[in-house]
Amino acid sequence: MTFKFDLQFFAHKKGQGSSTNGRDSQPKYRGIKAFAGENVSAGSILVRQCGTKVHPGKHVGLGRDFTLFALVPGKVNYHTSRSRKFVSIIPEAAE
Amino acid sequence: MIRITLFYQEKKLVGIESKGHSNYADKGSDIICAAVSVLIQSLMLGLSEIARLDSLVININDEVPVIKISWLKKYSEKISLLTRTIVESLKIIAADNPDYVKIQTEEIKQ
Repeated sequence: MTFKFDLQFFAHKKGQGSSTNGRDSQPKYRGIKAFAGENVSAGSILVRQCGTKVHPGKHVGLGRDFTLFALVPGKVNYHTSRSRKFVSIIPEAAE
Repeated sequence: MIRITLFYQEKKLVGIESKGHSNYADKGSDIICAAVSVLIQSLMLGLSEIARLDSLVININDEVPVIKISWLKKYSEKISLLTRTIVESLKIIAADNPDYVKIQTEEIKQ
């Protein structure tokens, strides 16, 4: 007798259900673009951020989207004051 | 949910159909499905291989999935022992797992 049983004949096929994951937003490429000690030209972007994680210091401008950029050529400097992080530019002439 | 239909003719059981997924768990770990699968396929084995019933009609479609077995013409006490055993077993499973197995009856006219 060659009778064969399928013990899962009335079972749902595995993985047929759909998952509700699988979505993601476009990458924003945020973060620090110029590190401490780097020489940058005026207008160079220093930090891309959402909100002011890093605050503008001397010779640094704050863009509409919270981007920080150098106002003068010089060396990048990060420092903390009253538990806030700042980025500033030490102008080339002043070194 | 697995829907089991018992077909009766003049109060005698002459056929059984089991249809649908139990959805208790995924394939491979669905114990409710395993129980019903074994009982239905045991009935097929008993009627076809052991009782060697020639008037047996079996329809199987694993896409749906559905198994329908009917033994309309030939009815004997020997066969009813087997069929009633299987049906009572299915009733116990249905009673214990009402969310996954449902049994209904249907009268077939002559």
